[in-house]
Amino acid sequence: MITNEKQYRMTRSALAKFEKVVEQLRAEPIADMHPRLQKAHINAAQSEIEVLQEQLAEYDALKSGRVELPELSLIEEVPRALIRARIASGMTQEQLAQALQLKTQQIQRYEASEYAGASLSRVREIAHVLIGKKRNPVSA
Amino acid sequence: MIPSFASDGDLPAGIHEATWSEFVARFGWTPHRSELLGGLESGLRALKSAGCRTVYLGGSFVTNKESVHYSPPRDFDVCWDEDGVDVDALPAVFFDFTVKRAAQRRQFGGEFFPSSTGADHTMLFIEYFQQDTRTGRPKGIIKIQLETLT
Repeated sequence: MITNEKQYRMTRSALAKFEKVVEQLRAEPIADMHPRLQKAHINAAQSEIEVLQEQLAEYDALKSGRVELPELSLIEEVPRALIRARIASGMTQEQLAQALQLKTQQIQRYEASEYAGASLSRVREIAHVLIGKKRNPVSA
Repeated sequence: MIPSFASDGDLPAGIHEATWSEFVARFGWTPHRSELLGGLESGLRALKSAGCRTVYLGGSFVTNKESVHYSPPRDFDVCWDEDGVDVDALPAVFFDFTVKRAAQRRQFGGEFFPSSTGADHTMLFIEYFQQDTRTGRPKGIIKIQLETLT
């Protein structure tokens, strides 16, 4: 996703290049190229145009304030959600620690402090393990 | 020899050649990645059968970004050189780019873009693969000769 003005400009620039390619290919097909391949070049460029337009539109919508953002309040609930997911999965703190190659003590500390001090990467890693456990209850 | 990753997780700028086994050894370091490699191999064999000789690999699969922030690659991105390819022998899925290449991702787990070393404007995807629109700095990609896929 686009997160700043510089990326926005670079994405617009990439979009312009693809649009130019499509325009050129439609106006003047490449000599001696199989028609199926001609079409593939146009369609491939066109599909990336759609991807880039979507990224630009998302950024525009966010900046304009047109988008409602309910997600932020969920951050408060993340630590509890991790603890609850672990309990619901049937994993002990020790088992979760093993799955992450951590000491049991570390998981205990995390849960006792409601994940104070845990990095976002760590939180995502734990969520990933718990989601995996949810889908495949046999293996962690 | 595939160079080490730069500190931002990208390969250093440039096109780095590797054999298929070097590629697998270097980029298949998790079960998820191995799974993606299976789909990639299947797509590359289909391309090879149709006469394709060279492919380029880009995107998050050829980066180390997941060790910087926990976010494994969702898929892989391939650019295939159409030189020598029997277009009528290539399966239809390689010509289907609809819905952000959904059919390709479903079948192989990644995306395949045609590239020509002919006219300038069709080099686009190879150049595009080397642009990092997040940083503006060029990033490296991998070139594989399909004869090394045995």
